[in-house]
Amino acid sequence: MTPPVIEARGLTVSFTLPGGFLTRRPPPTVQAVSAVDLSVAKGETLALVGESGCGKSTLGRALIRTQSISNGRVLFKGRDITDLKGEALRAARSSFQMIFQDPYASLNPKMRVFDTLAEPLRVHGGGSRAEIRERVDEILDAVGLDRSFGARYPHEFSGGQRQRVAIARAVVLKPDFIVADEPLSALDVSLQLQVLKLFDALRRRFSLTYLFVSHDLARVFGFADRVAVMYLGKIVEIGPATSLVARPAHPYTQALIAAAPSPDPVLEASREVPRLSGEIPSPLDPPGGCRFHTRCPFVMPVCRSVEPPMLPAGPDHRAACHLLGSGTGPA
Amino acid sequence: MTQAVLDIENLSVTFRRGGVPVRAVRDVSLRMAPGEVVGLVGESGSGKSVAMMSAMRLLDEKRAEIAAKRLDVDGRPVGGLGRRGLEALRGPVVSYIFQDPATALNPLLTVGWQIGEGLRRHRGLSREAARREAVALLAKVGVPAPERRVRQFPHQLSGGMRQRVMIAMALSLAPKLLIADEPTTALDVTVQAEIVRLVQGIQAAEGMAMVWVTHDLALLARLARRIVVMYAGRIVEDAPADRLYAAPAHPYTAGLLASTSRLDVAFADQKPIPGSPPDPALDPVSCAFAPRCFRASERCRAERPELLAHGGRRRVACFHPLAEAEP
Repeated sequence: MTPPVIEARGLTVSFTLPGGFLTRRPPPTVQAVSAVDLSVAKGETLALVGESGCGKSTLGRALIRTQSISNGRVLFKGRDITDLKGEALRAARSSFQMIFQDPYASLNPKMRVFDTLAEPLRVHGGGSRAEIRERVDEILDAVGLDRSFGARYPHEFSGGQRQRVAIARAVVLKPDFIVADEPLSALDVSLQLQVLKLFDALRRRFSLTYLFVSHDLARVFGFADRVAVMYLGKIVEIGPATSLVARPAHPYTQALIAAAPSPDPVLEASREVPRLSGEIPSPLDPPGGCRFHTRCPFVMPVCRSVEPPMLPAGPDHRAACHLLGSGTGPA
Repeated sequence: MTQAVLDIENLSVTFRRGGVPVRAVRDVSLRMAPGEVVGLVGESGSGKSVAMMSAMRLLDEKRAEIAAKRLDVDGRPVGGLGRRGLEALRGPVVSYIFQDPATALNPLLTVGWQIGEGLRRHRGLSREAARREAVALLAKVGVPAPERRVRQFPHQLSGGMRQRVMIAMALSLAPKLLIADEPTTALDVTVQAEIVRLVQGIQAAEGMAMVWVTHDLALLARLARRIVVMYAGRIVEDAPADRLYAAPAHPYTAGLLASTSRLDVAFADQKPIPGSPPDPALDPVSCAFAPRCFRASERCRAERPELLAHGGRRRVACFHPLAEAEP
């Protein structure tokens, strides 16, 4: 069996915050990602969904070794890359690409689009000038930009077009693994679907593997093969997109689904949203036991003291909730 | 007919950008009855926020040229208002909730002081009375432990709490018209759902008129009775919400509806609007949506459709509307 493209085992990322002024207390530590197990198969799209501060972007960066890892392992095609340094790390990273929320910040404003796309090809020995020209034209076609756009600068583009350029740059080397970090959230609804369709077309054309980070489950679930839901540094549910949305096992996933508005006034008027009490607790001081227990509508005494393990919730579908163990289920 | 709370006729707003006129709002007419809830929808650059900001005279008038046959809020023309007139308008008559509460709040003042500011100035309340009122307003917008929160500074609150503070400020003088400009865009999904329900509940209880500005039609399905759609500076459709969602008349509205995130439509069946919005510096005589429209004809490329009545309750600017005119 081929190993997954990317695999995380007990992956933990901690940040040490600056200590208090004139205090002798040790500086506070935040576990942004806490003992996460995860794997992404070749050609697969895994959507990583959660609210701000849940650690989803940090996890994405740790998987491609652009974020230092405190504990656990990361495997790339079965090979442990956790401790790679220097040239070996650079070589491994060339198999990865990242796409950001704000394409403007990730593009060099002084570089023409052609050079932005040609540069990675030149650096990685992409062939003669004619061959590079051909590859750039091919990728411009693939992302739906006119070839003449190569002569322009990023500021001459609209937000949606800039995101297309950023995507083109990420895809031009046909990387093994792409982390897309909220690439839709700065775009209008109409452009979000356009750009998502582009991601879809590119993965088919170049057999790409994505980790697609998003706060909007309703937007990405249909596009993803599998969905992982993250809450306060932990993956609380993971499974095939269709079964996770049809039969969400974790109360937090249920709340995310219930909160997504639908463009249907009749449906909306009749729908009651289960209220989550309060807001996300500070990651500095996460609740003991199940991290979701302070907001969970189904909280039981055990949830306050014992952290729930990942339990089966269906074929290839797991969730970290004590209700699954009690046999009653949270529905 | 009762006095309109907002009455805009032929509003145009033009910005000068390096000598080039950019027409952000083009010939917009919109009348709202007291207590009416309107969802104003469009992409960024469609002019939706600029139109609303001009009604409150919030634009930088050194850069923005505002022309209108009528621009009345609660019966008073806002065009000629001086400093005192604007002060009497903003807060007691109309108030505005911005997208990003972090930049709209003063970081150096407690939230209680900022909520009480309008009450002290307009109602002549003492500091103590204004503070008590601020506590009551925070409780109303669902902020826990309001007695403690009034003494805190904006940075001590989460994004959702800060937006609740903005809502409390906007409500403090019981305005007749509340303009909420993408107030939940910066918030998480679960918090967004709570804020929508909160504002909806307050609107229903107090009965003020409200405009909710957004690019997301799904968000408005629960909130608005009437939807106004803008594209490239113009209103292209204005219809009762139940009709608009069930049968959009303008192809752009249909495209927006098809573009919303939804859990009940397979990804393969979700169809985006092709292309991108036009350059706002251009002023074509054609329909601005024609290059992206699947129904566009020669006429659409040669002539601009006016916003006209389409049946009894709808206005549409399209030569080939999708929905039949209804009585």
